[in-house]
Amino acid sequence: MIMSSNMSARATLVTNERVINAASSFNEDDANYSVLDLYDDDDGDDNSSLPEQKEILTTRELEKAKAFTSLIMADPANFDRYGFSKKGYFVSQEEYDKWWGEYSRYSERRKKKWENLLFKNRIEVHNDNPLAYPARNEELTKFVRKGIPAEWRGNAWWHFAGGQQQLDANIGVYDRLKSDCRKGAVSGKDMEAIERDLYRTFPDNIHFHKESFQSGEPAMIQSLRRVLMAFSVYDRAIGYCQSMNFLVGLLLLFMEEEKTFWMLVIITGKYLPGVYKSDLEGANIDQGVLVLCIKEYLPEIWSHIESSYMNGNGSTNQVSGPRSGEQYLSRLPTLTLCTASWFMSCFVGVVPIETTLRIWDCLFYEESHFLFKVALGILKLSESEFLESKSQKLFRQYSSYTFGGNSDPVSTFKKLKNKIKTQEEADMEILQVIQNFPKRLLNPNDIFEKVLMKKKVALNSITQEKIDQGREYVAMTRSRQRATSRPK
Amino acid sequence: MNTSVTSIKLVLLGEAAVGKSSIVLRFVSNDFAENKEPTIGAAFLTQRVTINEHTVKFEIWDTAGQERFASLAPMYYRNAQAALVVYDVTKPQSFIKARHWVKELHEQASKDIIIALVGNKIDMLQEGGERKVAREEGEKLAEEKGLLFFETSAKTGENVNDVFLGIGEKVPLKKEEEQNNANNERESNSKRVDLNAANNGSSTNNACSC
Repeated sequence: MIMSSNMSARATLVTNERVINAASSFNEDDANYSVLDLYDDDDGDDNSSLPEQKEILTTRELEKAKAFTSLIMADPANFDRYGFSKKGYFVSQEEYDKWWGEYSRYSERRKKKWENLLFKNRIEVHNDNPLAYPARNEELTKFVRKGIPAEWRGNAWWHFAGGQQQLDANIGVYDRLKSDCRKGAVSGKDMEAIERDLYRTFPDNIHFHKESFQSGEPAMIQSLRRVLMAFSVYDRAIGYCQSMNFLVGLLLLFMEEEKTFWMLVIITGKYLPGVYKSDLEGANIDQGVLVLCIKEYLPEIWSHIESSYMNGNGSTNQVSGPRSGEQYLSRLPTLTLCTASWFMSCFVGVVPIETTLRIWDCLFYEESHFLFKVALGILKLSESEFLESKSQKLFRQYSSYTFGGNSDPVSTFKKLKNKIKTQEEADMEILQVIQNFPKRLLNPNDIFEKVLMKKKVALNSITQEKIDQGREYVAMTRSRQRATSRPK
Repeated sequence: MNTSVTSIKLVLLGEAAVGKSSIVLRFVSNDFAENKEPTIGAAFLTQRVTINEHTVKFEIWDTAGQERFASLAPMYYRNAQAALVVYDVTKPQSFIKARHWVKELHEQASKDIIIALVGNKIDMLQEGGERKVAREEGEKLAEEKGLLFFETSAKTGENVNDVFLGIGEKVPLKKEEEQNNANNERESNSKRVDLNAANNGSSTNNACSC
């Protein structure tokens, strides 16, 4: 249930206490619970309501608030509707507020359109959380790409991903796994790794924060532990892999524990097969597919990767095999060291939260090929930034060439070395651009409207079938190259 | 006056949650975050520092600590000139892991790689945490294996810059020409596979197909 927007001028502390009460009553039995219920419908006027809020806080209350949380935690103006800190290393509070002012209006407009769509299809918007959606068609695809209303997401993801079918076929399994866990079924290694990461999952989110409002462990941390431990027993070949903590953490903000568990099963089994297994081969295969996509759809970036590769900057943990045209599928280019985590965490923490959620809307509706589209979209958007940095290098190189004096063999050799150095430098800059650029993608529409929803952008012709074929091809090529390069 | 920049490729290795990313965050941004998120795959960062009037640019690969990511490690240390092998002074298991990393680096990485052994989280000793790895143990390993040795706190910042300065001072700061020569040497010594070369088998000693 979402509070009406005229309630958003309530006192800070009251809001926090509501969070406290609701959060401490959050347990395994709360079906269909979403943290969004804890927040007022944010209409973007936080700033204007601030002075009023401050007046209401008495010294005693303020001290109480401080005791509950650190000072920053006592101020909901600092946290978004999911409990994440608005401010980050790459986004200032001012930037956030300016963007949110616009984006929250966009979200409201979209929600009205969704309501109309459901009405047209005679589907009830049950308690502001529809349980059903129209059959897949082009119109619905368009709607999903423009964003599912935040309050509806949990059920919508569950619906589109086929969670219910998964659950219906496995009634009682999650409960059994939990009881197995209590009896010591979790391996020592997984248990240690999971425990280590619990408080390292969304430390800037109020629901996962250790020293926040509760004396004991936050309910979210407990759920996170149960889901990860149960999964480690359910799929022993995967156990626990870092990044799964982020997937589960985000799911838990939108749906209850058991559903979260089955969504994790769907992500790790259907969308990203083999990606989290102990050899991470599925992750390498996906990076190989991404490289093939770059080659096909982003020729400028590809030519850079290729020249970098020729200069020996391809990364490797493989011994060299017979030279084939596609060695880069085994010895993945350095760039993939950055992009691998994009896939493993399904962009959680890679892009700001609203952009992540828009990507997840499409992931559950359109399956994994959408992750490839997003990765290519980000690379395409950052292209101008990094091609610029490359052209600067070329300019510098050209200048040194012109002013470099004589042309004896030694200095020619030096120039060649300079060129390699420049290539290396350019590589470094590109890696930084690729890593930092997505962190500033605060506005989902900067990638959705500008790239992913444009028909004429070539990369949008990628289909799930094509990605699945690519995965098969890369898997085969890699295993062949491995076989031929193995010392006899 | 030497205006050339020496680049140092540096990789951080060590068990999960020993504070690799926190050491980098302290060095690059002079910042600290409690409960830092685990690094997935790897993160790449750079930082320039001036050492004895020379500019040194650190190109840092901060890697994931969980064991299954270890198979990716050779990608990072392959061309590295320096490595930080980090452990947590309150976790003996992390020191065992550090030993393994030192061994692997000596066997697999470039011969002249500079390794610093770093015992992190010494701030915890003041906060009632129990030291489980004696300073002498670290020193002994460092002496045996020819490593730099530091005990640090990414939380308070203690000794963190010294680690990087120590490495910066050990990597010879070269004038441009020397730098180029060194690049030549480095390249001929490295395990790079030249796709153009007729036969690259002999220059490849990193014969690990795993």
